[in-house]
Amino acid sequence: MDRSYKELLKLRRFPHTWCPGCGIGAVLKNVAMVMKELGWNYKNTVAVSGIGCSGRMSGYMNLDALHTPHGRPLTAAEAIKTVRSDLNVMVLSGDGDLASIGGNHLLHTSRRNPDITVFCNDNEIYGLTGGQAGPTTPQGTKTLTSPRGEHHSPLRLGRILTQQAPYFYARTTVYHLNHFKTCIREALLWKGFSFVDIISDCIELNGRRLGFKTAHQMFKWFDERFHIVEGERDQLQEDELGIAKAVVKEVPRPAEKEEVKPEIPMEGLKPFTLEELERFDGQEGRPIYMAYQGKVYDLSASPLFQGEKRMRCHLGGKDLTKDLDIAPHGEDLIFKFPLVGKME
Amino acid sequence: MKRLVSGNEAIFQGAIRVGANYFAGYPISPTSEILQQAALYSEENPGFRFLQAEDEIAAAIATISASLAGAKAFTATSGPGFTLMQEALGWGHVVEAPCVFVNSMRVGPSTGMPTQPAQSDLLQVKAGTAGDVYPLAFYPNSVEECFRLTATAFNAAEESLSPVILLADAFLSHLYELVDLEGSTLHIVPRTKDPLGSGQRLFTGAAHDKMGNVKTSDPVNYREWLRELKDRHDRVAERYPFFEYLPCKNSETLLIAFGMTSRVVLALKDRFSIFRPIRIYPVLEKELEEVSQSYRHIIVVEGNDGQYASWVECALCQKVMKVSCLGGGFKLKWIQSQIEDGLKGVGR
Amino acid sequence: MKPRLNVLWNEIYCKRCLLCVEVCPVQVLTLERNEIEEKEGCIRCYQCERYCPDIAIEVMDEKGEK
Repeated sequence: MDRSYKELLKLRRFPHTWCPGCGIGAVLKNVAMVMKELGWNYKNTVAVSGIGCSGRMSGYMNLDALHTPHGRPLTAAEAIKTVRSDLNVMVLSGDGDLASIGGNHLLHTSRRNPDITVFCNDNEIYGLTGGQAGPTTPQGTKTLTSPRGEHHSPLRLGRILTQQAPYFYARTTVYHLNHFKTCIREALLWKGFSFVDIISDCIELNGRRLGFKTAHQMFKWFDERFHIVEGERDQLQEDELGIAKAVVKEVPRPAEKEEVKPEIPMEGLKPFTLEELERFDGQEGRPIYMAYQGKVYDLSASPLFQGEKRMRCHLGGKDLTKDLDIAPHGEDLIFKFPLVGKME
Repeated sequence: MKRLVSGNEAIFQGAIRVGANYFAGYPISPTSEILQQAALYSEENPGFRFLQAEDEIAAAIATISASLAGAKAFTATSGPGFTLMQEALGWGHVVEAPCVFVNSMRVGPSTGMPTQPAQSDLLQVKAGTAGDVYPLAFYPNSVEECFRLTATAFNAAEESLSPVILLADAFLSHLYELVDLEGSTLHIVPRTKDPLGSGQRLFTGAAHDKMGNVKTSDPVNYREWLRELKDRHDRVAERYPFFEYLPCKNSETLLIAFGMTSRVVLALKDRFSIFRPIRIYPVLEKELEEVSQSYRHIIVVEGNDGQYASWVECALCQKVMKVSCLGGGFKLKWIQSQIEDGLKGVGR
Repeated sequence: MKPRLNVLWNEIYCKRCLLCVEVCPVQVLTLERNEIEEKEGCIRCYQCERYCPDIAIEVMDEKGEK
């Protein structure tokens, strides 16, 4: 058996801080195994964690690792990936950190689709603080903050993260080890935002309250609750373990439209001098003429040139070429009006 | 060549000139222009990375993370956004991330008066985040100074390995002045910290020892760490003892004002001496003590209810008079009448 | 410490969660006096090592090496 993955772990800090039977140890170990197989090490990989039991994971890895404030590992990972696109960036965190306090960041980081991989140790409880209800706690579960059973239905990460392509969402458990490792590998190799929802056990602070005596009994419970589905999927049902992914097909950009300016023959148009033009100022029933780029237009029909409410620049009988450069509208407004002559 | 430049643009240009290559921000009056310029600049310069974050929390975290990744990063916000950024600011001090936070102050608390200037975030700079931190903060009062002090802030950040705060106010952000940005030269301190991906370090917000081992129940280790942080900041602060002192021969009164209020009270320079701290925090205690010795009265004129005055009182161990320009009203006439009333009250 | 048959056990890393004991298909592992003991009959399926979250168990190969 290949045990070289151990060089990616800070064994001098072992035994790690988690409770006996905790699933986070399995997440740490299996991620390290797949990283080793892929040849990822401290020179090309950065791990980012949030707060919580699972937030300690990055500290046990022989990498440059970030331990961010509560809920912020996704933003931190995205920023690192933006600045250093040569680095592989992965987030090792938990459901409370990513889905509750970091929920907003989860939505928006997945929307911006940076090339990072997120491992969410989803134990359906706030473990570090003693077992309070979390965003993914199933309805009816008794916890410290839901003593008569959780009232609200849990956040369905699988639904949220598979709303619009591209996405990569995998659900697996720490019990289905082969499937677990496949998901890790595929997620690490996915170009773009990939999210692995790892159903994990918190035996001490959740399992015992649920009536389980050992971690293994919780594993059996996972086996009852979930089943593996094979093949390419767009969506996962709530009881399915598998990988749902979608890519965006590159749509060719529409060629930019070339602006077609109306070509108007200059011959045969009535010539105007500036003095003549000035007479057509709209006063005493005369029409309103204006010059623009050597052509004279009849603007009598424009509502902006009527009565008391006319706007600052809209006076009749002027050459407007210069004024239009600073106007808030384009020249196309003028082309709508009838052409009546040209300037001398 | 001189051209008309706003305070916001000067801050952005100063950052670019000192080598900034990452900006993360969220729109807020009155610093949205910095965000907009960063967006445009990043389109034209692929080396400059830009993130319009989903909120100020993310913007601040991204700024610090980018800094750890090796970028010279900065963000810009105003009072309410700065409040959201406090979490990251504390984190930035612990993980030793050099970066710059620009806070252009507006009237608070909460949404307050978004378009009106204020100077009311001084205490937030010092004590906004949990625990003890000693952030460096500079406060320019002209567009040209906005440009230069942005560079100073970046340099001080590199030296102190911490976030440094550049204060401004809504007036200054939108003030246009003729300045020659391209012609001025700036001193640049390069990055000394190794970027991510070059070691096996742990950058954690939890208390830790020098090896990066988390030590969350070791008071001796914590005390050592905090003393080192404070010493480092004090050392860097000593390099930037920036202030402006305009003595007036016949005056027994010293006016202390900074930022936009110092521009207003400048009209009184023939009647009163004026002291303008530029390094707002750590407080210029030594300099204040020296200058204030020859004056009977000290009046602090500021756009808040006596925040800097309380620091001056601590530094000088004496009561000072306060003139508080609240709600964005920085009117010379009103300030003058307040000063006169105050002086009458103490029997001039 | 007694000589090991097939399974190496790291006393310091182990937290006695009993996962190895329960996943073993032939039940050769037991916890006795706070130590993981091994009986004859290991089929070398590596389940205990794969499931151990603490990297406390290693199964030796046929030659008795790691």
